[in-house]
Amino acid sequence: MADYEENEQQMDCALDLMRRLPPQSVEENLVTLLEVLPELTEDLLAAVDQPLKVRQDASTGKEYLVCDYNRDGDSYRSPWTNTYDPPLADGNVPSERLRKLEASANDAFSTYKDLYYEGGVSSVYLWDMDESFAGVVLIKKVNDGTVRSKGSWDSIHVVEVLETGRQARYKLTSTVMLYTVASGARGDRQSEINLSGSLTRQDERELLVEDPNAHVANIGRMVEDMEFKMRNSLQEVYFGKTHDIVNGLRSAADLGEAKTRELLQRDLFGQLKSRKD
Amino acid sequence: MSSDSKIAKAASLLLHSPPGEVDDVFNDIRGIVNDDEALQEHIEPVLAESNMQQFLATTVPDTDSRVLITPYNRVGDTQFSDPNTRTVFTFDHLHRTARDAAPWDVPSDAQLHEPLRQALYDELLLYVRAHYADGSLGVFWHEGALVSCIVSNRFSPSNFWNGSWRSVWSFDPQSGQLNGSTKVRVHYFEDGNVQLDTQTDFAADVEDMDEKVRAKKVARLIRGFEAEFQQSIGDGYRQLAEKTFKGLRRSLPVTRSRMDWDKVANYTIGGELANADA
Repeated sequence: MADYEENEQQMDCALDLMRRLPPQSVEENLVTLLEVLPELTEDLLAAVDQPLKVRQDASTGKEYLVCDYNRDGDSYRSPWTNTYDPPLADGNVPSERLRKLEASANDAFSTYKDLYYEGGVSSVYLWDMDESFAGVVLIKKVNDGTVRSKGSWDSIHVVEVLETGRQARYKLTSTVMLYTVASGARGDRQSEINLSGSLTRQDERELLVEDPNAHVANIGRMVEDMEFKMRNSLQEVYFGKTHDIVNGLRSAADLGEAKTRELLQRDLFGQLKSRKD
Repeated sequence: MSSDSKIAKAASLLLHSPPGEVDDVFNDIRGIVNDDEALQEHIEPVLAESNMQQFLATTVPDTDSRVLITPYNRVGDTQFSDPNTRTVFTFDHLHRTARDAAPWDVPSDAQLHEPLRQALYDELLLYVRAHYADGSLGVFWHEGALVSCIVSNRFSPSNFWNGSWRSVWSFDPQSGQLNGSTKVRVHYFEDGNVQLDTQTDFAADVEDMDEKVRAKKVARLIRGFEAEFQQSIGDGYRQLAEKTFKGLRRSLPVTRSRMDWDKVANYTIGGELANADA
């Protein structure tokens, strides 16, 4: 098998594996995969979503999120200062024009984050591409205020932008990682209920770009609409569907009694009906 | 890392398969390792471990007796026993098939406790039929205790979900101690990967009494504990949905309307971007 074909097959299998292994241990799973397939390290790091880590600007104290998109070697770029930590002589930075857009996007999404998350951290990173540009909008919120439960929400919105005159086509791929843990009946770690994972959705729109500002508003509305839909999906899947599956595995009520009741009801209905006729 | 330890590491991932997806995970591992011969020697013990962990159900050859594959009815390296038909058989972990059933030379201490085992099995069978639509049960004498295994699986891969409920209860008739644990795992994977992972354990004491009565008592305790666990799962879900989830992200801002992006974008850019293009 040609090297390229083998790598592609291995990548496909690795990604399928990441969709099946417990999200509760996503970081350990990735480490294992990197040990087994070290030759695919860069590809795996780029393709596998991980919970976002928070860093702090030494100078301003402002927090930002790190992922593969703002990484260069072992350094990460702050969206507030546009510099790398640890410092790099010539780290990857967006072009001047793009950096201005990136700065305004960070401010706008910071407001968005405050409105919806009432806390948390947000970061936007843009990068130049041949025909246009692409970017990622990151948001992280942690809720560990109570003893009985805790959770964290990570949004990763990757957008590809193709400018065509006064319009642009936006392709959005969004992943929300949601981790929730409740302590068990006796409040101990032994019987925790851990309900965690992620959902991914896509959207594509063609919108007017009257001036460069418009990109921020266009992307902003797409992300806002997407998060609206995904929040509903997450609620349905996590707290509806998976709970239904548990109750399908074991019936709280006696199945035999339920069956007898059902037969009795049907019988009664039949008798009432024949009386009416 | 040596090639051999890489393969061993890849093979070990099989033990983390979600319920009903061992074959899919196995195929992924095969694709990653890309060397079936080398994988073979590492994967067989892992498959055996996986089947026993999952309480896989199989049919005893030449009978219609269903029996579970567990660590508690293992005989030697490749055989398992079925106390209900008093047979032993060989199990092929790769193909998940049973063969070569033969009469089982029941060890003397198992013989001694057979009446209690049978009584407990009968009581638990009533319980399992009442609460698990597709449940399976096994009760085995193992190292000084009666071990009861309950497994209930629901696999619906075409709807992108699978789930499993697995309980193991150990009753020591001499000390009267009853110990158990239950594990529930659910996997939802339509455009995502969402998993529920929860387990709990219980303990109680059952005094010495007439065998049939004792079996009834043990079964009643098991039923009670499992019902309590299912209830606490429900309570956990309520807490997560109503408190944790809502505390992460609002459905709408406090203003009750969506964000005005035009206002914000213009405010923050000011004249900067316009100047840049000039």
